[in-house]
Amino acid sequence: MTGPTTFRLSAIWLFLLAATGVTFALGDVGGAAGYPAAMAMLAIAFLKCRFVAWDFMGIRQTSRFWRGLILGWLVLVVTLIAIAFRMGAH
Amino acid sequence: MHTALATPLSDAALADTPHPVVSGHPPGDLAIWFFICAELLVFGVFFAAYAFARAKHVALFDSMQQTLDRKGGALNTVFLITASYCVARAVSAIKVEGAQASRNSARWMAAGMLCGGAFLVVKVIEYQDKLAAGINLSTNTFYMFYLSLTFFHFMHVILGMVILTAIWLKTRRGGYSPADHHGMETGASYWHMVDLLWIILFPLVYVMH
Repeated sequence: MTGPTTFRLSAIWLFLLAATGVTFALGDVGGAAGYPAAMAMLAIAFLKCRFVAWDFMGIRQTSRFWRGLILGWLVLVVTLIAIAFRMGAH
Repeated sequence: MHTALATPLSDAALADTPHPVVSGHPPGDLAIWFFICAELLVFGVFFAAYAFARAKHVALFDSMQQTLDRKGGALNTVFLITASYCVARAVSAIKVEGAQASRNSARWMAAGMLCGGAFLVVKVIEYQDKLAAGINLSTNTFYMFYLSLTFFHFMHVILGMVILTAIWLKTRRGGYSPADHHGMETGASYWHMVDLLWIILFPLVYVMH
């Protein structure tokens, strides 16, 4: 099973670091903008997890079943958190 | 040539091609993936439980979250992401034919372990601060979740470090090769899962409000 190139791995690592910086910065956003900022952080976490799973873990090269299983878990968890934060925003 | 194409993958055909098998299974032992799925399920329930508990106590969770060390959490995210990257590079390095493959792979693995160790050190300092402030599981609902979730994850990092150490030692001895690195991929998959979980845990517990 071939994996991603070292260039791709490095590019993803840099993206993950930058995304962490954005998440950290969004933590200062409060008040009425707090909820949209939280959703943005959740979207960033989703993207980061997908890159880690697809490229670092090697899920990209697996069957549709495994890709669906991991992506399904990720979508479910992120959706539940988003719903809970929506409930808390009222 | 025509015959070889028509023949199902024989041992000879497998030996002639460097990375011929795309089985559809994830890298490493299938058993670790059952374990990973079980862990993802458990942590998924924990994450949802935290989020829905917060929905009932928004003011408490938001005010208690301000008492956490967000910089320490972000630093630990950097450590785990970098550790995961190093482990991915270690797996990538062992697939390269040549005398240096094991040495390069072991170096990347050692770098990953260093980052994993740094994560544990930062986390211990964080726990020491909380314990010194008299915070424990019964302080309030937020801290019950914070301590349970992060400590459960902390234990997984420790187990991951044990696994990485075993892989590193075997790699140094030349125990893996481009043709046989199944064990390394198994351990790497577990480590990436630990990273994956922290990527959700950090914004959820430390930042989102």
